[in-house]
Amino acid sequence: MARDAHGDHGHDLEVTIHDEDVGGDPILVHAGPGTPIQTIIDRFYHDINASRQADDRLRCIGSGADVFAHAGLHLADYAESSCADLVWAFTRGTGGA
Amino acid sequence: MTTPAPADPEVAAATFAAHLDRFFRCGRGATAGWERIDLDALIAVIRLPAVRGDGTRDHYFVRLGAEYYDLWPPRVAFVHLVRQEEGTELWVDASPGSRWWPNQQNSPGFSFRLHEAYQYGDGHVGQLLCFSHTLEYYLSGHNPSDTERWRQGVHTVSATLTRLADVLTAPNYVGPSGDPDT
Repeated sequence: MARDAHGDHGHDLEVTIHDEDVGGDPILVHAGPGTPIQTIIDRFYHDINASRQADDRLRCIGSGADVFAHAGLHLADYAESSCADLVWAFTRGTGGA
Repeated sequence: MTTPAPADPEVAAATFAAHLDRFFRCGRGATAGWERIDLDALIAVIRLPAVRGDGTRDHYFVRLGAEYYDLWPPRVAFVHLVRQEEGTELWVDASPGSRWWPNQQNSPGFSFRLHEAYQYGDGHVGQLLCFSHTLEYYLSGHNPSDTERWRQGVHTVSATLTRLADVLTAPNYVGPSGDPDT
């Protein structure tokens, strides 16, 4: 279940985003239930001082689902349909064989 | 392409320890199934959880070497613990067909391949966990794109371990490649 940043009296939801390449404390983004997911993504990139690259991955840890694919949803609808706890994992591109 | 060179051992050890501390305090290492076993200042064995498609949980051990860290990623190999006759214990490389070598499909969501016996340019043969967050990837002549390349200050051992956790998760992960007593 997504955390309400203001307890029972407010409306903001808290999105927890782990930058798994860096591995430090997660970035917390607070936003209202009608906030588009794209806005949350934009705030995250602003916080890490980066711009999105084509091979970046952003996933809901609970479901494994791609967050970018839900960029057009509102936060509350997204939490209800795709990622109840609103905890995400971010990784940059990875090369391999 | 730049050839990897060892880091100052004291700096490497301090950086490696700090990044591992952070990973186990507030990263994925703080979740169930992870364990850290320090062998010396530059070498640690990490216990990683693995999850099959039916929910069955296994675990594996990888040995990380920080001799080039964090200018370059850690050395990585799957290992298991052998108890010797005289009572000592030794971490040795795992082999296909054993309990300690994962049966996986090389499709964890990023480019990856697991080699048991890769012949390196200097003639030695050893494991290659082929992705851009292991030192061996760079020692084997691979040349990643700019967005894939290990970057000091951005990537830490967390990047290596979380990708390996993805390797050890279904549907990519199938199960151990051998019986428990192998």
